[in-house]
Amino acid sequence: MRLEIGKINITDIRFAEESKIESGVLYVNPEDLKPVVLEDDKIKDVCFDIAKPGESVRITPVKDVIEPRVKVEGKGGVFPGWVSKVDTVGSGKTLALKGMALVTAGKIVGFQEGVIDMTGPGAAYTPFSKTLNLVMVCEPVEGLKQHDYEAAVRKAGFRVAAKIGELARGIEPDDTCVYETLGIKEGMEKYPDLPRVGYVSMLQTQGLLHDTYVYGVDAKKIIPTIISPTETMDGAIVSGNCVSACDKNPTYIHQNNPVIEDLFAQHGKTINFVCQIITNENVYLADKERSSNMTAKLCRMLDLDGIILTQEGFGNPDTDLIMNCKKIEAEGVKTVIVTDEYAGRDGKSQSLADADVAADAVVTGGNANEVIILPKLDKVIGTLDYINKIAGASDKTLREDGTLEVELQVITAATNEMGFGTLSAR
Amino acid sequence: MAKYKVVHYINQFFAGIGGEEKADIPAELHKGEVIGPGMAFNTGFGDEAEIIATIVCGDSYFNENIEAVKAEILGWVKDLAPDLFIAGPAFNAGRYGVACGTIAAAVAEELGIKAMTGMYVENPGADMYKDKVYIIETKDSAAGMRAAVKSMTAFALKYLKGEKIGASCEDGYMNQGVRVNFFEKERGSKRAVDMLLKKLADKPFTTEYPMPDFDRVEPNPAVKDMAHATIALVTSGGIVVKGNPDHIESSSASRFGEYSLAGVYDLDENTFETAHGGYDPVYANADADRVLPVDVLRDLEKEGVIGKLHEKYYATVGNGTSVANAKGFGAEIGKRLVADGVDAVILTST
Amino acid sequence: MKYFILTNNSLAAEELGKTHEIRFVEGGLRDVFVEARDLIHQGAVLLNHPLYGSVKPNETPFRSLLLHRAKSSTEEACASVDPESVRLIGNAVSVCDKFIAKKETTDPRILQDFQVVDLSLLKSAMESADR
Repeated sequence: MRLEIGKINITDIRFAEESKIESGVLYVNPEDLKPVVLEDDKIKDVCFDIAKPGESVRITPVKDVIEPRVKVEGKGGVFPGWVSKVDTVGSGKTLALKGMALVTAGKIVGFQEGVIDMTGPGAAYTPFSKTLNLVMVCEPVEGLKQHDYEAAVRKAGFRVAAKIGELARGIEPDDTCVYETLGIKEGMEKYPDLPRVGYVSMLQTQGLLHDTYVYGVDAKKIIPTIISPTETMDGAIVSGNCVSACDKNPTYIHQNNPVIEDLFAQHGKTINFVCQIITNENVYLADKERSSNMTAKLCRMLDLDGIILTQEGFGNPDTDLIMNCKKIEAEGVKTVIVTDEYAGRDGKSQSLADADVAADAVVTGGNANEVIILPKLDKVIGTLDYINKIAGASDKTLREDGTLEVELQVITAATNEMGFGTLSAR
Repeated sequence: MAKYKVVHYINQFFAGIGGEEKADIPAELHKGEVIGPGMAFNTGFGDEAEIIATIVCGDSYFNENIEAVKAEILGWVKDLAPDLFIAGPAFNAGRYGVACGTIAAAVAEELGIKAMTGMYVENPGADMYKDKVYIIETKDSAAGMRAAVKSMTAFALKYLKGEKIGASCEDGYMNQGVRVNFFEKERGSKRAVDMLLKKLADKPFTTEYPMPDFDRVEPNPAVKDMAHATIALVTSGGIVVKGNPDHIESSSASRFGEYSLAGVYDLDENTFETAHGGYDPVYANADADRVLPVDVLRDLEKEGVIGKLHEKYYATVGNGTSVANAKGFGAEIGKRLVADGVDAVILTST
Repeated sequence: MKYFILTNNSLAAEELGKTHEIRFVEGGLRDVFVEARDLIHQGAVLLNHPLYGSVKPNETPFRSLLLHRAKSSTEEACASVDPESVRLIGNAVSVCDKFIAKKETTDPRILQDFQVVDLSLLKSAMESADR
């Protein structure tokens, strides 16, 4: 499958009468977007705001971050199973708005979290302090249940991202990258001497605010399967999770999956990047056993020489991580895992809830328990009302001088386990 | 600004006094003198810091008179009140490394003065002290002096100025078993791909998180015939004959004891107690069966559930005891149990 | 799979009490773990991962575990203690102890949200157990 990603660099976002993209500037009329959100009768109202790098702005609680894209050639459309039909995506041409993101924010449950600081020490930890953010805060109708509210906000985010993406249709991209994976036989013939490498991504799949979807399917109901990494770039995998935001993958990070990008960078040179294998992280122990058996089997059937294994979350996913690693290594497939750590505030505790000697090649996204003091910022988009209740916050969180004492846990994508950031620990 | 004051510790060899034949010289304080590698440190410090005294001690003397020499040196350092104490670098010299680690850790711990040393990663002093004091990693021989001085000087100045010490790999010291965050140059995914390429090519690579070493032991097959089996008791809960005749330490035990159970049917407070310092001993002292269940095993013996209780039991204290010691005890106890024809062991902790 | 639910989440007990066997634990999250550990040592088998969810053990006060029924007699049960369950519940207790205790949430709305999420994660395990 061959996918061209045309990159349109967005250098500014402004509210305007007419929604359009012109000379790299995204002009948005919120009134154009409102009906897209409100077509779901579970949402009462929505407001839009803009947050730019360097501004004294804090966005919280963040639910999802999405990169607007539009499919201009090839089968299907972006976010299949949500805003587009379930045609197989991942080939043809897709335009992406680079340098910006759509951020959905607002309280769904009282202990929710996810902080993006556009300036100050916290900004260094989240990749979304470097993007121009169009922020969307939804207000639910009276008495809406948490499940329904989560689903409504999640889906509204995809619709709005698609709507903004549409503005790019017809615009000449600043830069184009081509990604191509080959059929099994084709790849072996073309790169007979290169090691066959796969990417196993574990998706968080546990329940409310802990779910991930593939082509619209709740991934806890799948058995592990293979997909083309280019499908992921078209939004085949989307996020429904945001609790303990440091190591959850917002949709943006799936779309811009760094492991996929970095494997493609070696594809045809030092490795033959065969495919992505997706698996889940269910709470039920027998599901964990079954899924890890399946991933190991797929690695074997695809005759892979090596894989990169990425995790999402902490605690029970550590068990999935270790099961996958052990079983895949046992098939003779060399494995490197990407994880993060919960080593306690003092860094002295055991970092993972599970471990095995087979996991001898580990990349870490850092210790999520490390404490950081976030200064008071001039403006809050969303609400600080609940910041005391968020994972990684404590009763001391909101200090008298208005600063926040929190663990890195609360910062969106701070210790991302796909290796999106440079944070690490030793 | 006044220069930071540094006190430097070196052995007889680096002081130019002599080799092994001079290793027994006692500690000497050279106030206002800069000796051997101290010269290079001083140059490196520029006008930011200076060595105000050098302490020289023979390696054998130090290791044979640890307590006395430690007290003497601590006294000197206390009076000199430096901003930083530097020992070594010791490279791969074992006794020198242990001396550097011991004295630097003591200065830091007991005097609250910043202290550091440098040595080769395989120097026994490294394992003993890397979690207690900053140890800068050096080459294995004095040929690496230039590089060692360079990295130790850089670290010393940063440390003196109170700048934030980064992760071990950033600032060149040995990992202290504490996880410290820092920003790498490459993002995680790129590092993962690079690591995989090395692993695929069977080239050496370094994991960013070494898995804890569990040292799991496969259990033996179950005992089929318990009714004829001899069962022994072994504990790390510190149950000893009253008075602790073997002087098993209350923590970091260096030995285990072997005691007779002949004619003993129930442990009571007059005959047995615990030597363990890691838990509230009241209940164990009142009735040591709570840790070493002799009474219950005697019952089972009487009921014919087990053949018999082995007439000797073994005890040590698990409180902070090093893995190496524990392994040694285990191997020795195992040998004795096998020799005595014991079929199975019940291990109790605290 | 025949199972019972060990929980301190009253919302779960209410909603599932009529159709499922509930063992209600009066107490905190750690108490549920400890109770589960005792049951596991008597032969019960853990069906869901005790560290489910991203809400850390020092944040949510609620926990609901699915356990497979122990054998009837204690002796028989002791002979068949499931080592994986023992390991998981042991790890869970230590993880619980590792996280620093925080001020207990008293806000009823937030407690209710914790209950709802806990119930959702429990149901996701039950779906697997029921099929």
